Amino acid sequence: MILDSSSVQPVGQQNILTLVAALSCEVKPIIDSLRLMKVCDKPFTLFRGQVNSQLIEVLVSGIGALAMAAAVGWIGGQRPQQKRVWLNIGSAGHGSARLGSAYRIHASACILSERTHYPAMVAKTVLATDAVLSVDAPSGDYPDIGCIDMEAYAFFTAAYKFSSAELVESIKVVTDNPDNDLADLNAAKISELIAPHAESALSLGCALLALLPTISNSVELEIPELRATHSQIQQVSVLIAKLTAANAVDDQLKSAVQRVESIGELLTLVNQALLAVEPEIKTADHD
Amino acid sequence: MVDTLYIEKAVIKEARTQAVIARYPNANQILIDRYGEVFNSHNQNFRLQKNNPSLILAAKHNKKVISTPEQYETGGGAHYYFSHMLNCIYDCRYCFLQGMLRSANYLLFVNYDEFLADIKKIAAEHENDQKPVWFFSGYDCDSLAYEPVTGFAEYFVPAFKDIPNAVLELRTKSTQVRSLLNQEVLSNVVIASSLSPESVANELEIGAPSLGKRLDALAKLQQAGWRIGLRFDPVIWHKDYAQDYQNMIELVFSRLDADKIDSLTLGGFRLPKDHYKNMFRLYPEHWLFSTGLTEEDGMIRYRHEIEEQVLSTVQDLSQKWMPSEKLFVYRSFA
Repeated sequence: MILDSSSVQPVGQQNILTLVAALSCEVKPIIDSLRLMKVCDKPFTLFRGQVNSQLIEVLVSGIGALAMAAAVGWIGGQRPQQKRVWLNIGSAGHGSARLGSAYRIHASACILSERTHYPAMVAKTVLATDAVLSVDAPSGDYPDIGCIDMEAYAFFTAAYKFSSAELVESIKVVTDNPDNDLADLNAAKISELIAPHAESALSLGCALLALLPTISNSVELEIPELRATHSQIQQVSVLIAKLTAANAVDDQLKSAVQRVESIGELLTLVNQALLAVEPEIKTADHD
Repeated sequence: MVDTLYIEKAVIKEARTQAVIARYPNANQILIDRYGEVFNSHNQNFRLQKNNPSLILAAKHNKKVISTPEQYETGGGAHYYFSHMLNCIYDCRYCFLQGMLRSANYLLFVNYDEFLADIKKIAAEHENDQKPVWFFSGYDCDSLAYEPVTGFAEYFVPAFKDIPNAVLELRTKSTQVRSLLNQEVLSNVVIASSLSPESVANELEIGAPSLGKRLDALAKLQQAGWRIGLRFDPVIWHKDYAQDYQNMIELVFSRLDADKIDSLTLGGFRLPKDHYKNMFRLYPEHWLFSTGLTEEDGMIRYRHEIEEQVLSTVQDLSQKWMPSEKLFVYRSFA
């Protein structure tokens, strides 16, 4: 088996930007501009592609909170060893904003819940921000402030199960308002209104990816096949992570590890190696 | 620069809130009911948030002034601490806040008047004590680092003129001492500076001023007549620690008048196990959380022989300048 320090925190594997929308017309501008390939149709439509060495997925959930939560859960359960950032992009109504206005969501509420999500907004963008209220049916009854949609709250709630709050964001583009009736909306119009913001959305997605820490000191140790419980493997992984952090995985240890015959012997060996470590601080520049 | 301000609706009209808002005219302002909705929400990552923390302006409603654990005394009588703010603009890798708090956002409690009222009330309860009652600030934040925004020292320091049986200790790594230098010197206020060798500061105290700059600020304060405390806590064990601490201590006492130092405290790297687990999860690649440590009684600390070795060494080095009655060593092992 091969254990590495990344067993504690995955490193060295490609991170994923997952864009999620209720309707394909909401993400058509992005799919077209990135030339993503459809890789799946059921249970949800999924597009995937490599852009500038980043893995990008576009997932179409279908309308409503349940569909959104199911779609996020479905994709979130895939590739669990890879870090994923999430961006919901979609249309929304607004009581006062003009058509085509785009907002990064700073608060997501739901009429069925007392709890409000406050996305951490760690990544920097130039987009204006606003709140969104998610309702359970299309509505022309606009709140006094903020956007109104059907999926954002479910998106945040579900995506938080898979990634920390800093890595989950939503952008809403105003596609209806008191002067532009919801009934007049069609797929082409939605795509047209969202298209100008596709670049901003991708830019935010990339900013989210950039937040993921890069850990450069990962090492691998080749260990013989040993009978071990899950807990023992976890212990060894943690110890190897600590040895790696202490810069204490040398050739001598690598070769000693290859000769162990039991998990107990391996644990003793790496424990002893760790006990012998004396950390060294490299001389730093004075300012 | 702060991009986002979360503001409790109840404090939006407070003068201090408005003053802070005015410092960030381009920041998003998001109104909230209670700070806990943002600060205490689940599934936050302290390390990621440190990239761009938001500022939360709120009122503290529950207990504002709390008794300190018994061992944390510096020669006074009763000891209390209070925190007008949670989190810090610095990013010290050993800081327990990373493990204790879910959020790295700065949480500023703007109801200073209520903090001060509680301090005065407690001080009054100790009016007949033989020794003054101490109030520590700077355990859950840096007392001075955010001074231009918070006006913390500008408000609290002069207030202690009217509480003669109390001492205010401001724990800091900051060089933001202008507001102190512009104030009347008070004999019951101590500025306690956390110092580490330059190598340790560079490696672990990310964003904090260099040792040299901290000493510049302390020298100015000392020359102005302020009481100065020194805190070598945590002492960080590493291969060259003895030489690094010797160099630092020589530098410190070449810049400061040892006779006028109020107290010097030493302690090893130690923290509750739960905090440690969170910190290791955040920074699995850092040697600080991987070397020389042991667990005992729910605490993670240096192994006994290491703690004894580093604290004794730094204690011996310090004793050349500091008399034993002013030197306090916090040992984890009896």
